[in-house]
Amino acid sequence: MTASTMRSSLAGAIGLGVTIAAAVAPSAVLDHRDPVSRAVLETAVALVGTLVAVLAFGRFRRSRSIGDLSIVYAVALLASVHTLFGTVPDMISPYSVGNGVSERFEVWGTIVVRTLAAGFLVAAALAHRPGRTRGTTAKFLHPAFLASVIAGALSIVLLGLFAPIGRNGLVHQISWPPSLSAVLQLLGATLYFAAFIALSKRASARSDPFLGWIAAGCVFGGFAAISYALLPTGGPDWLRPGDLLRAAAVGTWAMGAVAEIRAYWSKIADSARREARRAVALDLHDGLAQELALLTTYTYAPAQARAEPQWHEQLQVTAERALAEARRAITALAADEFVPFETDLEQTAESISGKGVHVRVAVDPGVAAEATDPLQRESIVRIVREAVTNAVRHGGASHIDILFETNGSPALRVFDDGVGFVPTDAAHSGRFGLIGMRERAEAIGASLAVQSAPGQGTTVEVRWP
Amino acid sequence: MAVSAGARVLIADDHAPTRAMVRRAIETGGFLVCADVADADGAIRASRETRPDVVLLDVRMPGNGIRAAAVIGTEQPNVPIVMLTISDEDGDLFSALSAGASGYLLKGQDPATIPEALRMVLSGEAALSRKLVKRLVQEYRDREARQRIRARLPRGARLTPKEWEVLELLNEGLGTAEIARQLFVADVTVRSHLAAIIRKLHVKNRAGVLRMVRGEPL
Repeated sequence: MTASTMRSSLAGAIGLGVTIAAAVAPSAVLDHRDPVSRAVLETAVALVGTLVAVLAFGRFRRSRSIGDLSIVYAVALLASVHTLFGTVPDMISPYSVGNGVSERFEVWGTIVVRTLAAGFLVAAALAHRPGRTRGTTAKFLHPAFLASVIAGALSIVLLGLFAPIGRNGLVHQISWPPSLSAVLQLLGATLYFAAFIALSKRASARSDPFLGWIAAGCVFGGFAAISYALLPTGGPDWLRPGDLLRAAAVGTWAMGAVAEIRAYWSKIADSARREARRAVALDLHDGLAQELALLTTYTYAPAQARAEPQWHEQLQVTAERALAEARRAITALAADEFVPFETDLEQTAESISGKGVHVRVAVDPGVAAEATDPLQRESIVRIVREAVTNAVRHGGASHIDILFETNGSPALRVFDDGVGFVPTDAAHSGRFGLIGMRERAEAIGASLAVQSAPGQGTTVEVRWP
Repeated sequence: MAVSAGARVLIADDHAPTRAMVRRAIETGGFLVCADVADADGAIRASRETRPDVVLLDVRMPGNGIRAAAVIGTEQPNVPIVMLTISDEDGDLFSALSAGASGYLLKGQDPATIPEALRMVLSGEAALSRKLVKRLVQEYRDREARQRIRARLPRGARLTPKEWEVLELLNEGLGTAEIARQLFVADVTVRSHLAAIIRKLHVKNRAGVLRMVRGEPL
């Protein structure tokens, strides 16, 4: 037995139990004059029902499915009906309970609207039928809703003005022909049960928990209608079985809304997870994989090339870069919270410089924008890493200052007190690091300048326009 | 080979050390490097200015190497294009080939294979890293299978690529949870794809979908 079958069976058992109790011993069990409880119940139904309608509307906005829109209409009608026809008129004129017109509107209004809601639930089930196209029916549903509301209002007015009501239900007296209200209630019950059967089928075919809950709620709706036929609503002061079952229906739909929200969030979490994974993959590609591929390529060098010291240096530099990239990826994967940009730069610099080198990092709060975009941030960190590597490896620096400030336009500067070099020579001697830094800077819309001279230390500057 | 003696090559790769390595490798192989650039736009510009005999492009570089391949391939249809990339993902391989690349090499292999591949594409052959050839064959077979399934679907039923993936895994006998795991998505996502498939194929349920794709009576 699936969870949804169990749910519906449980709803059926409760509904049947309450209905039988109402039929057998109405006054003893559930037929109370209890204005406070009734007011609490109706307020809860109105609030929860409105919430469900809003959430169902959210679902409709995502799916654009006509079936979902029908559910919105049905829930909205059922959420508001008793407040609209019972509580509000009663609040406006507290003495109207005895007043024939007000009472007649309450009775007929609630009956007609509840039946209308059942009709929309059946429509929802039909609209969710497989192979149903959206466009054509979508055009008709808003007018259909409007037309049924107008027809409903019209019939309420006519019934309210001309049809007699009795507070007696089938429990009190079974008459032939049955009263019009009893016939309408039983028609409503039939519609609810039809909606239940059709919606359950749709729910299982589409593995859609929301529809499953809506279907289970329809069981309560159906029994509520039967209960009302047996024992009609007794006015705003009375608490009767039908009222309780109606509240149970709305409560069950609320469970559906919760299931829908859960599904929605898990979908969102899913796409966030995918996005994060994609970012890590991109990072591994741009960093670690490139270096490892290059490293592998070097191993194919012929024997005489491998005898040269240059080959060893290339191998070493590439391997070190690969290691730094791997560390960085691990840190990114393991970090469970956001690492501030400044800390990121500090850690990067210190992981390369090692002991005996003083690294100072200062980031202006004003450059947050350059540091929050992940792509920019990655590029900046890689430039800094390259600059620090050069300072330590080629310059033998003992102090490195990394400053990121905004003076009109943002600028990143890495100063070192190393031996310095002639920049034009370095470009020719195959220092790819410099080329790489420049290209990274250009890729994020900045430019790179290197100032250095033998004995003068080195300044690497990245400047945004 | 005469066809490639001194042929001029355009290199585009955003990883400077790799680009230097490639340059060395193809110069050793007897080619001339007419331009070496770091992004897609640079490659497109350089191809217009230097009119290379053959183009060697990274796939994932700023501006997208496949886009560069498509543009250069349209502007200079006689210039063969070879992709050199880390990515061995099917998507990159197939879109590079559809964009007009006639070679697809993976990074991390013997650099001597690069000039070899350039010679091959210059003489009108295709050059693919060996492990990719198998992928191509597999893809061809998958397309055949897909074609067969497509013939059994109602006319006008258009499935999204994701729905196709779900449908194929379903056809392999996988359950919702397994499909979700394979596609790295949540169960509910698979269910909503399934619901869409069921709706589009005008069947009642998952069993109906399977009967339809397997050509069994409904």
